Amino acid sequence: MINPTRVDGLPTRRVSDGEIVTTPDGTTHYLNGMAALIYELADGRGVESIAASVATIFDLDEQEGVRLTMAGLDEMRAKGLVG
Amino acid sequence: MAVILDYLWLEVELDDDPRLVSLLQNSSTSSLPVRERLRITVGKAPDGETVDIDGDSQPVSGTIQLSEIAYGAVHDRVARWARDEGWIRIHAGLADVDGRRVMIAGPSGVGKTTTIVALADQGATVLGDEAVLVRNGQAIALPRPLHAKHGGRGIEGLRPAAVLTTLAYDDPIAILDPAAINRIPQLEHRPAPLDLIVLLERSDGERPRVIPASTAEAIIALAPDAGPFTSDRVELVRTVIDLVESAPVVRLLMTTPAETARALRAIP
Repeated sequence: MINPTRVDGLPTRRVSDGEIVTTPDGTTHYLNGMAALIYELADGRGVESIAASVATIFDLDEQEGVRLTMAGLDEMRAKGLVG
Repeated sequence: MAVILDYLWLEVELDDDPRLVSLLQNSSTSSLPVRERLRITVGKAPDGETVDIDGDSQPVSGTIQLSEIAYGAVHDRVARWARDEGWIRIHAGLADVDGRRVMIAGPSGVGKTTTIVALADQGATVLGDEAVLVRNGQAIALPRPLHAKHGGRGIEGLRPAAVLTTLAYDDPIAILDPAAINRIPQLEHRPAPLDLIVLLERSDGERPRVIPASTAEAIIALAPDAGPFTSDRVELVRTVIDLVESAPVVRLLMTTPAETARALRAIP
C-alpha cells in the first residue's frame, strides 16, 4: 500500500474543532480534530507512524490508534483528500 | 523569613531553607495576575524531615525527593492555571534571541538546556528550558530554574555563579539560576508572539545543519508531550497546527552547544 499523502493544493481552513478542506469540485469536507491531525500527518510517512502519533496525542491504545487512523484515511481517500 | 517567588499565576512562599530556595529560585517576575498562593516549608519528623505543601505534610528522604515533591506541586498548579486560562503546555525551552522569540524543542536529553546556556553566553535572553505555554500564537515560558544534565563533562559557557545546586542523580543535574545565566538581576516573563520554532536533533555531522521542517514533523515533535497536560486533545491539535503554521519551523542538527547556538542565531 502506498503511504498516505495529502493531495497538494487543496484549500484548508481551520475551525474551532477541526478543519474544512475544499476539493476541486467545490465540495467542502469537515474534518474533526482527530481527522485534522491524521490529514496533517499524511505527508508520505507510513500508516504506523501516523497511528502511533494519533494514539499518543489522543491517549489511545495502539490498536485503537491504528483502527481510527485507517478508518480516517479510508474516508479521506474516498473524498479525494489523500492519495 | 519567607522567600516569595513568582510562578506566573502562582505565588510561592518558601521557608528560607537554602535547599528549597536553591531548587525553586527562578529570579523572575511576570506580567500575569496572581490567582493562587502556595506555601512550601520543610518540617522535622521523628525519623527525618517532611515537606509541607499548604499544610499537607509528606515525609522526604534527601534533596532529590524534596525537589521532586516541591517542584511537582508548583508545576502541577501552574499547569492547571495555564489550562484553565486556555494555554497549551509544550515541552520546550524559550529564549529571546537577537530580537526574536524562539521556541527550542527536542526529546529529553538531546541538549536543549546546554544549547540554551550557550545562547545566553552569546547574548540571548533565556526564558526557560522545560515548558512553554502557547495560546493564539503567543508564548511564555514556565519560569523555573534551568535543569542541565552535564554528564560530568561540565557545561560550555556556564558561569559557576549560575549554579544554585546539583542534584546527585546517576547523571547529575545542575540547577541553574536563569537570571544569573542571563547576567541580569531579575528576569521578566511576559507573553509575546513566537517568531521561530527549532526542533533540535542529535547529529554525527561536523557542522550543525538547518533543515526546514514539515508541519507533520513539527506536530510529532511538539504535540505528544503536551497531551498529559491538556484536557482537550482537539484544542491541543488545533493550537499546535496553528502554532507551526504561524512561525517558521526548522530542524537543527546539533554539534557542540556553542556551534549549535551560532547556527540557530544564523537562521534567517
